[in-house]
Amino acid sequence: MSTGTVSHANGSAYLELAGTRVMAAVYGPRENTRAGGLQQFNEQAVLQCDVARAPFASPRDDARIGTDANTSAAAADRQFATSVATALQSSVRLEKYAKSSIDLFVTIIGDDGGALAASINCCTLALADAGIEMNDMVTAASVALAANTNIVLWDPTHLEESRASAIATQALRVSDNLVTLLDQSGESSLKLSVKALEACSSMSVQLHGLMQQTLVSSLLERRKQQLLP
Amino acid sequence: MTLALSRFEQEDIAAGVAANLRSDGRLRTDYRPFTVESGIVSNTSGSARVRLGLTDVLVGVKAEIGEPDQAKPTQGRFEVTVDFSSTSASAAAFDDDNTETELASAIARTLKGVDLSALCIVPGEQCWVIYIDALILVAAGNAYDVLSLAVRAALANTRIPKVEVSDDGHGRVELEVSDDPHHVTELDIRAVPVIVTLSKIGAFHIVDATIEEESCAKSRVHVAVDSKGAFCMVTKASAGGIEPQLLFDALESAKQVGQHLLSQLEATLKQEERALAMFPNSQRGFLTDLQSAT
Repeated sequence: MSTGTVSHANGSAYLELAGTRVMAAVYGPRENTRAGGLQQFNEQAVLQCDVARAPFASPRDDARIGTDANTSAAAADRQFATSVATALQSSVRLEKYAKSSIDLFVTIIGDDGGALAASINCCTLALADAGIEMNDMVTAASVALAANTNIVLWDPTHLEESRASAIATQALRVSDNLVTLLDQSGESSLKLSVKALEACSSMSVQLHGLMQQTLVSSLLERRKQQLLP
Repeated sequence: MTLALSRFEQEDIAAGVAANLRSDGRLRTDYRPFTVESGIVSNTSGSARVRLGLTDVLVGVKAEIGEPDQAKPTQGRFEVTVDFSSTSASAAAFDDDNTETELASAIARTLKGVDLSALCIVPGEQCWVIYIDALILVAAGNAYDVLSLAVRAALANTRIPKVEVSDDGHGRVELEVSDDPHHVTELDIRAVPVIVTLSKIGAFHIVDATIEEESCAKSRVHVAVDSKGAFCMVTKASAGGIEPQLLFDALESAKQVGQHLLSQLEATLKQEERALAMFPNSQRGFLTDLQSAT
């Protein structure tokens, strides 16, 4: 994990988990220039998220043949972006930034499983790097579920995801223990789902500590650079 | 799909939820009764209209021959679209253009686990594509649940003509689609789940929220439950947090409510079938309400 990777953005971060590589940049708070944004007065900031997926990001098996696959991929990306925004929305103090928009741009450079969780974590770091007020850092984690063996696999790879019976991603606001995003696709029982979400929570707590460390060390680094140019 | 409610209205609803007595007299986990009419649109392979409270959803299913998904060459596939009828709600509903695509992708996700190998005609080349087109006639709360009920009812009503595949001797394949209305197959819909939406109001969650209750819910969780009680999709779409323990309780009640809903839908469909067999010429469709009223 590192922050400040995109120099012209207000805040940015890069996160790497083996093959999963995600970059996020925050622009804003700035004037809301999107369609309709200028006409209406917003007491709260609008949090918007765009996701771009590098063409080589995922392994070849989700073939990109024909236009059908491309349009559904675009729909999936939009869904992905909405999920990231939903996860972070309740944590960013939008009421502090009236009339403005905070734009998140996520680039998925590589997807070897857990891209959604990685993107959320990366955005959180980027928001913190941009100095945007938040109630807490939202951390996300994903697990793969195997229905027949009742096994929950922590932080699965792409291969594990494709063979699992279900995948669950959960975003948690650690300090007050609130789930801000939950997304499970595939089949599982009640017991297994609960087990999976508990696993996600404990991963989130660990990640929270790691992300705090990253932020502190990047601040220290920056201060050193400013003192000794 | 939210209303602007005053603080007093919101407090009133929250107090009702906390006391386990909602403004229409229901408990937190009580579902309102719903009505189903299936087979009411003539030029479709299957259709259904479900009404719950004021919410009214019409689903038409059309089966057409097309190409299978490259990743699953031996299966048919679903295509889902959702449209809000322009009369469906007040102008307040237009603040969110994403709702239609969100609903459609949620339904598509719940259908992922359905085995469609019966819809394969020629592996890798031809299969039945099931177009599910939903029209939300009136959106007055709980659209996800009603939509999923209507989709399931419409799929149960869907009849697909049988196809004869013959080889013309030169490696080319000819398809002959039967036009006999009795020479048809039904879809296996046992794995099609229903969505149960749980809204968090105060420190509690409720099922089957009215539009007023939806408007003061802090967060919502959509859970797709199949007849075995397994979850096919869990997603929390709205902003706002939810405590893990409340979430687990919510999942538990989603399982119970979902299974109950499915059996209720099954019973309603059976009842309708029996009624139709007895009175084949009975009045059905969009004008029946008016006729019975006059």
